[in-house]
Amino acid sequence: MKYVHFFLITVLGAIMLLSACGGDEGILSKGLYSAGVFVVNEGNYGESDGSLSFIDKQGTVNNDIYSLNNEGVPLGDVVQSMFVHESLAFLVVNNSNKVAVVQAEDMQLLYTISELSLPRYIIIDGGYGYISEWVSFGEPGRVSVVDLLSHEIVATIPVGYGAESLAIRDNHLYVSNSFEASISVIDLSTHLVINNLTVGEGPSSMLLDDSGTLWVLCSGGYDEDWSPSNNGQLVALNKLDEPLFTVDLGMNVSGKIAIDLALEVLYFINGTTAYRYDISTTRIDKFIENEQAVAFYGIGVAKDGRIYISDSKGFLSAGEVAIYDSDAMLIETVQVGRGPNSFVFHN
Amino acid sequence: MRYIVFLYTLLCWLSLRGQVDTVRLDPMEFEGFAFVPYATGQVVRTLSENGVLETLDQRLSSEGLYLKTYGNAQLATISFRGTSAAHTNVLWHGIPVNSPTLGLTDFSQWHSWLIDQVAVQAGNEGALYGTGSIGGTVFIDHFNTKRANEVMLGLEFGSFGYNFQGVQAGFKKNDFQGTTKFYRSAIANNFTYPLKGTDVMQTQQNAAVLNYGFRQEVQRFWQNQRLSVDGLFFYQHRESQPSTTQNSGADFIITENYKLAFEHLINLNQASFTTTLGFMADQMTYNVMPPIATQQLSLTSRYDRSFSKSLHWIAGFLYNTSKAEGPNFQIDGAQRQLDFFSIFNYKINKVWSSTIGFRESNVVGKGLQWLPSLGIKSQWTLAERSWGFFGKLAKGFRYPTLNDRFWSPGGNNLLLPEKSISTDFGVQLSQGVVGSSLTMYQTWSEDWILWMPQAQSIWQPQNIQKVTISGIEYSLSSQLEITQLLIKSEWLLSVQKSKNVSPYPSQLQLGNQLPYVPYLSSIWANTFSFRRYTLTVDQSYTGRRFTTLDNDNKYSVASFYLLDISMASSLDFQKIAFDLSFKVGNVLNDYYENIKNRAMPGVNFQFQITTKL
Repeated sequence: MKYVHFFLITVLGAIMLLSACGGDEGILSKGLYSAGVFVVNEGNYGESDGSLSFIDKQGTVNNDIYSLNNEGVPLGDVVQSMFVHESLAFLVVNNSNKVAVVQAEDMQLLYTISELSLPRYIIIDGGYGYISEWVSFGEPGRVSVVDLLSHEIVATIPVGYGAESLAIRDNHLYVSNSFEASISVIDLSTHLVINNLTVGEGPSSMLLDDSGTLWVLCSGGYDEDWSPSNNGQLVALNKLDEPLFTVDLGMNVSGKIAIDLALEVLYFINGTTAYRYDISTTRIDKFIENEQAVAFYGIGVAKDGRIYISDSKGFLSAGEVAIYDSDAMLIETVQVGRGPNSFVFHN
Repeated sequence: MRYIVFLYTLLCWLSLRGQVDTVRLDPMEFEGFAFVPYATGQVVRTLSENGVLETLDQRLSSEGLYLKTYGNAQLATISFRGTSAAHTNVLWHGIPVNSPTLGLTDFSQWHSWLIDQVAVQAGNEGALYGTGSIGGTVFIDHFNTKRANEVMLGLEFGSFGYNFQGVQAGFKKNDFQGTTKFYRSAIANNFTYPLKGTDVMQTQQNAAVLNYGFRQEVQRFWQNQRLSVDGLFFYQHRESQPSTTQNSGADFIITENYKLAFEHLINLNQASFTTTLGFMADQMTYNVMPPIATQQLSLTSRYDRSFSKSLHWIAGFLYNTSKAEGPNFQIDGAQRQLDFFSIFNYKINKVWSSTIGFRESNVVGKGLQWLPSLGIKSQWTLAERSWGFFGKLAKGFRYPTLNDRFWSPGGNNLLLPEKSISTDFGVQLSQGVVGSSLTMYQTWSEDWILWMPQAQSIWQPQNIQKVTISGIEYSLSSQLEITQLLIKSEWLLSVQKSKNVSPYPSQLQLGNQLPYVPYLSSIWANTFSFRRYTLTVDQSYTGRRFTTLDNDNKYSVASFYLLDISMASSLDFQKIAFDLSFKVGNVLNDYYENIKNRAMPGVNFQFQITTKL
């Protein structure tokens, strides 16, 4: 009897050993990404499962396209943003402290910019890349200047806490300091901060409209108990960097903003509602409400007028992108990567 | 609190009055509150005393518990039966020691060198052990250990710059005994691993860890009483191992843990009365941020009485207060809890015995929890064979943590306790040198707390998740002796389905497996002893774990198999005995991960030497 049991243990152990050898990784098809919509999926913090999805003109979704075209290597931890410049795409990976530079049409990695500290966004001008960095939660942010020929960081410009979005107007670089209520203005000729503009609390996304007005979406602040102050704002800055006017939103909002093709209507999100602000009439409407969503996390307007809104699904599952027409009619919903936060409309 | 002090004084006085006719006992013979009391209907595993040079997570992982570690020598938690680490209650001298802010224990900070004994009990035991015992309970140390006048030294060297130095000295004289222990360990953790999807080898950066710890225990015996004091201090400076895609970084965490327990035991005729006062203070500093500090004070008294050979009773209370301070606790997070419990153990006849437990638990502002449990077991014994059944039905609960309630932003002071009902049924069989047990269990849980994104761009915890868990645990062991060769073998198998039954984040996730719960895990441990030599061959398998509720393979962590082999021998040198051990971990040099994209080391080596003077 004792030998029978011993034999049984041995056999079971062997089964265990063999069962450990299997693999069932899925295989994705490769494709080119010349025309369509890139979806930036930041992934779950700490798990390095950030990725890129691509929705082509036919509506076909290709997920995880960076890994697919780079030998399975994951993109990184918290893919914060993407910027396309000519044939290159710059992928800013916040918690991996890097910017991966790829060919936009096939996602092949060309080089990586490292020695960054919690990078957020990048913008290109005059052969230089300007990268905003938080640095840390307790230190002032900065903008690193990268020479796109040598790929080296050639200057570092200290700005305010929580350096976030970037915009360029008239040879000036605007940096929203999202942990404060300010915008740093940098002269691109000298790489020096020449002005510090006061705006609403939590400035994040910025956009230029048809008249050259710079729109700053301020998410709003928190009181001493960290309850939302419900003081989100849209701030319009004229070309002299003077506030044209301020729109009080009466709530805290997500830091994401989008503008339509005519540069006349701004869109922003809060919870499971998308809002529309008409610049000419200064009117705010509830545009889309989706109670089935967990939380809207990104918004974008395509060149064909379609509005793309992502739902993070609480990072508990793959995210979703809902595509609406300009009348807020749902066209379709597609599944993308984990934590979709923004869109890049390519060609 | 005044009532507790009054009650305690009264009981002490009554106990002392009752001892007039008691005979003076040998101070070293009596025992206090049982290490794992009344485990009727449950399987309890006491960890072997081997592995004194291991951290507690390493020892517990060899017991078939699911270990979740954020890299090599990094934050490590364990969980039972498809639950999360927050559903594992950890008791040190009977006092709950889970972090009041996180609600869990980082076992990488507890080193076996400082600990005398560890036991684990799987299953829902809220009535016996209080909040958090939904998945299971880990018991660390008690005051019943007998000391001797001896000094023990331990040294270990290993791969990736690992080194350990430890010294401990026990003493025993007349009515005193105690122990003093100290250790230091460090690891550079610069192991190499293949970058996923390529042949490129990458060297792990920023993962070095430094630990040291100190323990002082003193006990005084007189007549039928015992007074014990145990103090523990841990320090850890841990660089935060970055993910494989980053492989650079400068983040680090410094933690300091102070623990102090006073226990007073009165041993009476057929009864004992134990009171334990515990104080714990932890401080965690992340990079250059201001530290988060927590303090916890626990007072528990237990009256343990045998009415006859058949009927045994424990009753008592637990008072616990905890608070947290730090940059994210604008309002000081504080919580007070008072539990009363009563547990009867009745031996019905020579075969059947049962346990009935009740606990009433109250956290200020959270209402009363009323927690019954019922356990029953039977045991038939013949010449070379024994078999038995055991079963249990119990309610469990877990209070929200201080982070859940008070973290800024997002803390939700309206959270309810998580609730569960569990049932277990099992059989045990032993025949000669072979023993086996099979346990089947089912748990229904609701109001599990998840942090969810909210409309105002902040995350907030909510009582949102319902979970049902079912599973099977099987163990098979044998011991075979062929002339001077002793072969011990044990196989543990755990199969579990931990099912999300709440329509969240959408109906599509209904019925799916919870993240980081493998369907299957198994361990097969073999020891071959010949004279002074011991060869150990350990194998383990952990199944695929999903990291999202949609159970998408793309976001899963691959299954892995590990083979560890060690060789140990004892050696006498000039009347001093040395125990030597050489271990090869991950012999097959396989790449594996516990957490998605956190590398674990390939083949590694450790050489250990311990000696008693």
